[in-house]
Amino acid sequence: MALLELRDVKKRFGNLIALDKIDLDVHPGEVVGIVGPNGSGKTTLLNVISGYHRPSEGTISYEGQKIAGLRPDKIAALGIVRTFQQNIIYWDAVILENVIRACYLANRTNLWQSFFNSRSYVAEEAGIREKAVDIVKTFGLADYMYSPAPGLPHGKQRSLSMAMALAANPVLLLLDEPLAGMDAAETELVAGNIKKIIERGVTIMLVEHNIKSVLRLCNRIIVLDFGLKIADGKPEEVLKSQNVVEAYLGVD
Amino acid sequence: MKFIKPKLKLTTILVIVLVVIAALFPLLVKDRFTLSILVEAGVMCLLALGFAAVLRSGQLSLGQAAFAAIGGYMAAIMATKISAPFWLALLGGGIASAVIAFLLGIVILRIGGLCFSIATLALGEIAVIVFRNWDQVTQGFTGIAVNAPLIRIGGTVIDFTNTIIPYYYIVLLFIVAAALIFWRINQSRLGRISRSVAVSPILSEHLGMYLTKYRVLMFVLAAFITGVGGAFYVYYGAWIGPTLFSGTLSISLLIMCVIGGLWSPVAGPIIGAVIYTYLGTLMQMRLEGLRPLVFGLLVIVLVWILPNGLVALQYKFPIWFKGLYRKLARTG
Amino acid sequence: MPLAIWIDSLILSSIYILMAAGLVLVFSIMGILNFAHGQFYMLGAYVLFCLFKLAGLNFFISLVLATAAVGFLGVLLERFVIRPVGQPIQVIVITIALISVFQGGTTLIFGAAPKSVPPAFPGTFTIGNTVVSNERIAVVIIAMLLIAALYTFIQKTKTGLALRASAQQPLVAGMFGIRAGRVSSLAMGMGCGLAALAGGIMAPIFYIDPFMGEQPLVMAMLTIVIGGMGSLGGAVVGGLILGITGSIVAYYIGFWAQLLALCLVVVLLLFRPQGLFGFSEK
Repeated sequence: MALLELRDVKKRFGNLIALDKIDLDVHPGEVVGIVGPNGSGKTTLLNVISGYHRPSEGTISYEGQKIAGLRPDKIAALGIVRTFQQNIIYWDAVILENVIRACYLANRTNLWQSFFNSRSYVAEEAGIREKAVDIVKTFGLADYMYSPAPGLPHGKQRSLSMAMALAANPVLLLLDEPLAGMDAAETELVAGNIKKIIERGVTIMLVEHNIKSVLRLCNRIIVLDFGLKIADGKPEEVLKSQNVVEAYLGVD
Repeated sequence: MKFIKPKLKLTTILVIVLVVIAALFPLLVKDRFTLSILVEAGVMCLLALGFAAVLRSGQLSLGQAAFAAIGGYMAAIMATKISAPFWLALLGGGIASAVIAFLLGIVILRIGGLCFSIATLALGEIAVIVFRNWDQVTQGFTGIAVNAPLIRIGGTVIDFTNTIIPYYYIVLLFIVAAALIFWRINQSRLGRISRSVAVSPILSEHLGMYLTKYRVLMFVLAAFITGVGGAFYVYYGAWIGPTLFSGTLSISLLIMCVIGGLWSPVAGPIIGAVIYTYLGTLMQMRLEGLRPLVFGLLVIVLVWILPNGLVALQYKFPIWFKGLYRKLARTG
Repeated sequence: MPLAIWIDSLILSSIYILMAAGLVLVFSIMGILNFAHGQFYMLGAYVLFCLFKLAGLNFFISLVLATAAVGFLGVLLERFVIRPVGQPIQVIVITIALISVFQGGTTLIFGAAPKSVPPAFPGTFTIGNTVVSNERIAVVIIAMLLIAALYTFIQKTKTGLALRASAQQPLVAGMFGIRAGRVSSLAMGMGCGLAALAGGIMAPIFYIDPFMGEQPLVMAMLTIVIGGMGSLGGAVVGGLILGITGSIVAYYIGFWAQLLALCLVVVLLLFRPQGLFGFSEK
């Protein structure tokens, strides 16, 4: 059984059809690249999976459970975490605090215990802090541990959102154009971050424009165009296929 | 990490000193008028603390006065219709407000934002209409008169009629309790979650935080404390009517918190409430007709020069504070 | 049902529509709800009072001058008082403080006692059994014309399109939506001018006092909520709904009407938080 199954998924915004009919499977351990021209529905696809939007039609199953239309926080608790194209972070906090906040799902003690500073709470907090420090170091942000998040250079901010996504203990990670607006060095940095996440066994769906990186990182590619899936398979084959070339370059 | 311990120590000492001063104050200053301003300010502190908590969870509640009124009416009705004792009436007031907040919150806080603010505004208006017209229960415009609280310590009954000192101590007690609660919340996980939800709700949601739950939590807690404050105020003035908690009160809470400073969950609202009430009353007396104009201009100027409130002053003069920290670090 | 009630409901609706439309325009520029918007209504009424009653100028001239003056004041305020401020929450505080400033200032100059403005169209005329005041009919007609003109301007002209677009631009949330730098003085001036216009037109019908701006502000906010945040057309519909429930329902069931209207707003918010014509996120 696939980790994630989309069947017949459609998404309409008024008269605009963002996703026309999507059938796809994602299997554990895969790194699936989602590519396509602008407006093809890539981000909408992630939005619908992560719970930000509810699909107009169709079903989405995760580990056998129907998740279409669930609240995003419930979906995150199940193990699906996402990043955002605009790279949303907590601008009011330092790096370490950002990652600590992202460890929310690791909390087991309840609010009363937290209020009264119970022993299990204190221990758990210490553990979370350790985990956060560890993650910060893993993503090369150790020097910025106590720096305010908004002051970070662009590439490091992306690394931060990667770090936060990992802190949320994803089984399936949805990355929305993590390399957008990156120069060569930053691209290397963030691609390296992604590799580290892959090494931890997280299944990934990666929406990207940067084809080179997609080829490097992904072992499968799905191509979308006008909300439809027009190709799905091994990277080299897909990119050579006629439909895909037409979609990107237009028909003569 | 080096500065955290001394800062906590400094703050704790400061707070204890302030509380002791506040506790001793009525024994040194017998002037009834000053004490009455302080009691009023005290009630405002409670309301401001609640308002600030909701604000720091990301929502602007423009109807806090309604909760104070709901609490006040509940307490008055309990006191007059079922002869409830003081503490019980206060508790009843708090619970009534909390329940209304809960019902409104679970519905509106799912969307939050501007819709929520306007809904609280609407609630305020609805509350006033209901109080004015539901004669059987609220006596409409006449309002309800309430007897002084009957509290015994040891064998003696405390005198509430000839002096307001007991009121002063009760409100001080409430403020300390509320301040402790909100401070502790802020330190704990709930504070962190509340901040997350306020700063980036979408991100927080996708990191697993159920937004509505935490917003409602703060909203209900704030309503409870506001209800208790309102109920207390009714006993203090011995009367409640539809005009006691005006709509402008809700808006003033925002001014109080911004003047005091929003970076702090406790110090900001308290400082802001005290200054607002004190300045307001002072201006009312000295300037009379000029008061609204001057007060408004003053607030504008304050926001210009201290956009983050008075609490932010400690960051504007870091050298001074760092010196203090260093001194304390040396003494351990 | 008495004609007078119909007229009253139209008058109320007109106030709400004009105020709400102005508020939407100002909202699109400032990114937050301007709590001082009601004060422009009041100022419009008082300027009209000065020009029309005290100086004896023609009613329409006074109205135009009042609208222009207050509109200009709004532009100045936005530029010099509000724009220097950083965060939305502080801007809100400043607009609240402005309420005090305007109310206080007006009280100082004119006193707190309500004043009356003489009708611009004195006299009455009779339809069947009912006697209706000319002024009220005139107000309704003028207001309807204005709203129609506004609507045409917004829907049919290029500038109107630009205004609509900027009004519709989705704001993240009331508290985080400031758009510094992209100011259209026209929108600001129009917004405040509309409020002043409403105040000026209504001045001969109701007594004017320094606090008359409070109610229209609240109702304007509720109107926007019903109609939808970014929608000017929605403001019209919302205003009609509130105006009608306000007076017609009030005629039949008294004060509960106001309560009903407010509860209506709250209920609407539950099921359609973006208002009738607003834009939904999901």
